[in-house]
Amino acid sequence: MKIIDRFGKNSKRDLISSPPEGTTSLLLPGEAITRISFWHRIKTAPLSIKLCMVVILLLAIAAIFAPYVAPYQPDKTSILARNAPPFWLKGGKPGHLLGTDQLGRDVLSRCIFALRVSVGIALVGVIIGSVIGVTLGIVSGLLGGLADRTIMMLVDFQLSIPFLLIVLVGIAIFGTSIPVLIALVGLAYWETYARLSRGQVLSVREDPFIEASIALGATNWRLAIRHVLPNIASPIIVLLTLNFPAVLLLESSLSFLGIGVQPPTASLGRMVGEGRDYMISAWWLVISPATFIVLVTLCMQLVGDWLRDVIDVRLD
Amino acid sequence: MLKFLTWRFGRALLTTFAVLAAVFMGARFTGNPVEVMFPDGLTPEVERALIQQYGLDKSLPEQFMIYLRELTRGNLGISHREKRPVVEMYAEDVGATLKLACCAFILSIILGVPLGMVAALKRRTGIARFVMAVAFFGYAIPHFIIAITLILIFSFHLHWLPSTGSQTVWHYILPTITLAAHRMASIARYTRSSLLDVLSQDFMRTARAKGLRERVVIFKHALRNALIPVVTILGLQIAGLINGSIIVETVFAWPGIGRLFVGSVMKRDFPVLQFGVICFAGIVVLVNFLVDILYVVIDPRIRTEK
Repeated sequence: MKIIDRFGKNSKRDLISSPPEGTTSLLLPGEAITRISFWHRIKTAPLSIKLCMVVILLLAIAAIFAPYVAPYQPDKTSILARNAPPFWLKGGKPGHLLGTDQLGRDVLSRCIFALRVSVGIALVGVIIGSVIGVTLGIVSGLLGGLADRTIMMLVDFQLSIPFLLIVLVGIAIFGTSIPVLIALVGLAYWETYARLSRGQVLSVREDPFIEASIALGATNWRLAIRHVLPNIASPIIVLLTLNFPAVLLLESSLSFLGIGVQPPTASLGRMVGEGRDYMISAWWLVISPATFIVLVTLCMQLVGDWLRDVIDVRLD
Repeated sequence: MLKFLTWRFGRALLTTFAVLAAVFMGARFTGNPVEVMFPDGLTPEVERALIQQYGLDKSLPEQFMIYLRELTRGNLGISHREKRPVVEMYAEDVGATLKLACCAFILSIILGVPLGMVAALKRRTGIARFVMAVAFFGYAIPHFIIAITLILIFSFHLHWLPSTGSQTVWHYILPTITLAAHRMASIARYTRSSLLDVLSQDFMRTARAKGLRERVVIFKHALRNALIPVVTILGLQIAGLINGSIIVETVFAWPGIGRLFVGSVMKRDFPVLQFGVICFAGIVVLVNFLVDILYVVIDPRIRTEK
């Protein structure tokens, strides 16, 4: 079966002008075809990318089903098994794969629950950021004029101020609670979505089908939802994949400094921060959560880079 | 050229103004300043007197004007905790930050540009792949994990280098490497892609065809053109450098303004925090403007524009 470029710029028009061989007809919606092409892309991906996807999938399953996957309760202390090293070292306890901390809590179980918190915050954060950014970008591109200039000025302002400053001020004003943290990291990188979707809107706007729908009396609202959004979906997905690790790192860095997620909730960055005090005697308290952070961010970044190349999006 | 620079200068001023306004509004959000200064509570008369003394009963625009006037006089408030002018506190610590940031910046350029060049010129070889892999790791691993790993290996395991403080040259090594890693990685990536762009241009073929030595072709024709976009990136690096400094200084207990700033967030010492934001934002705006000027100097196309 011929593979149709789902993400190519002209995919819609190509479908209409020349139905490829093997596909039934252009009356069918593209779904059946696109699904095959997406699977094909994954199948033909390099081995390293497949490996990354497997890692991400495993970590996602571990995070979602944390209470069933983790061998212990994350806050269960056991005084007798304090500061046990990972199982392959001398003095390691076989029940505690990655050892225990200064209170005898199982490091692996804490990491899994922390992964849940960190990934959850990052996920909600990216969604908030993309919704705000894409909305502003589409508004800016479709309306033009004063709205466009105001929004682009905001983008400029955001670009010229280190985002960590804004987050730290926000924390100083609103305090450290998880909702505040999510809102603040959610605002991160909104300007990347805004710039991307504005650019996409400007290029899609020249397409004949937009002209046609304007001629048929479509409102701006309808244009945005029905015509523009589906056309800019794939570059936005690439950007989401690339921003996810960045947002996760922002949250981890804040938690590491002690101004992010507060105890007793475990987040990966927080575990590294707390482990610092025991680094000389118990390095695994630092290295285990750090490895989880690196695994998630590296794999997501690699998959994001690959997606960007495959979908052929220019992000600058 | 003049038009370009005026436009950029206007934008820098506008950004500064926006930052000041945002900080001013932020300070208002923290609640009643009198209550923040005297958390134990005051009698209503004293409170009213204080509000009058500080001009808090005036309208917001009026208060903002007073704020701007005091700002130009260098009066930026007194730390709630240490009871001394914040300007003094920052002046003490800014040197350590600048020294560290400059070391890291220089290191990242002298490593990043050649690495990017190697990756572009020796494309499709093992060396290039290795360089890009290292750059990728430097880019994707957060500062605090690089810092912790370096401390574990070089301070605790090998006992070669100190992990905290800033007394001797040895103290500089780990923080500088940590801070430079990200910048180096992105400079290398940008140099590579920019150089690859230039190498495929027609004038490269012309330069080779007229018999120039390869060294002249690479350094004079390719590199000079390739570095133009890299210079614009350097401006953006400053924002990243500040982000990094804030974290690296905290990890290595470096006595700089980044650590002071994080401390003020934890203690909710708003005057210190406020000046930190103004300071950092000011640096970013200034550097971006300098980069614009530098851009004019190295790119003749803008210089000759009417």
